[in-house]
Amino acid sequence: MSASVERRSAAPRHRLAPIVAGAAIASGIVVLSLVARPLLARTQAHDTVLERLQRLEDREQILDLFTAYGATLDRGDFAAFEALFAEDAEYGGGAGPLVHGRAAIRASLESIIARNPANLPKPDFHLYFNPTIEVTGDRATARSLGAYVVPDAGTKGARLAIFVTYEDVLVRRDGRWLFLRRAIHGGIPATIR
Amino acid sequence: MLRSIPLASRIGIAAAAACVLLAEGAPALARQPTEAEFRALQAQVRELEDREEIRALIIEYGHLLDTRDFVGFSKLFATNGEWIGGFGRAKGPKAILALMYQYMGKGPFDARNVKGFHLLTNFYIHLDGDRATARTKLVFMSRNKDNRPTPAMGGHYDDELIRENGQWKFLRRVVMMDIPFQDPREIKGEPPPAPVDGP
Repeated sequence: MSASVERRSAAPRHRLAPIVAGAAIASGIVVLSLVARPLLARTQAHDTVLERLQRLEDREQILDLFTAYGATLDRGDFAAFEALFAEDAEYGGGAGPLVHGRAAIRASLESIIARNPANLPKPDFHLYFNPTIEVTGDRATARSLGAYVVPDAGTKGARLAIFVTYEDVLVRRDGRWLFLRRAIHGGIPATIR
Repeated sequence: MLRSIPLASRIGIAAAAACVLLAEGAPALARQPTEAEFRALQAQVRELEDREEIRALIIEYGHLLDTRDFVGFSKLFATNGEWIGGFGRAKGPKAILALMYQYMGKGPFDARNVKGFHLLTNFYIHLDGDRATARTKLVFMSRNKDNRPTPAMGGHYDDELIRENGQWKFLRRVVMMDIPFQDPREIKGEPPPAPVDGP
């Protein structure tokens, strides 16, 4: 008698159990998704902020590259100068053809500075101004102005001998920003070669 | 098959599954700054971007003048943007374009005969949400008779800026010449400008 009662009452429990468990799992998933969704959205927003921060840092590193371009030439450190360019970089100014490749760019600059075609007095240094930089992932484009400061024989002071516009394409290789292309044009005087 | 597993075990399995799901989400939880910290970070990044965008706007102004792109130049101004300088004053991109054509002509830019460069530096920017003020030093480098770059004038810009459709624009730009001195507002019979707090 007691056994049959037990069996009768056990049967509905067995039928209900999967429903209860199922409901528990389902509601658990709903709760989790409710918690996870804003978290996920915030993680995405967080990643976006990190990307934006990265672009700001990239811009600073590219400004350092511009500074290094002038500084390495100013101290005649052509090994360091060469290292600012990508292996497959292009470089050129005025109406002349582009120079292809890092080694050729170095050779070209060493030769120009040694020949001193504009016959400018020493000492001298580079300045850059007005940089605008557009970063897209591992690539960037930039425009800036450059000037060359030399002694002025007339006033015994300094003067700006050359004023140019730089149009650049930059690339990030192994975590470092490098010149992939530097084109120089639109200057005073008009030709810089 | 489910029936062969006792209820307690089934709940245990469900709990274990929930724990696994939570554990998957836990690194994300641990990495998350608080809502307030995150908003502060977003605002800081936005401010740095705003400063960059305003500097770029001011540099673009010089570039478009130097390359005689007056249409592009006029679009740097807000719908109600005003330019006040040596040529007088104009309000709105259309009127500003007309003023530039009147004084600078419509001739194209010749890269082999550059007239000069706006050298812009010492950007002093104050942000205030979708508004900002800025003061920037200017040296205009021009080509002298010996074909050399020479500083022809020095001055500064007093700017009021506005974010219009997500882009920073000039709401009011006053071009002040300091060397040689010329205040465009004095010429137009306005009271002398109030002293500026800052550079």
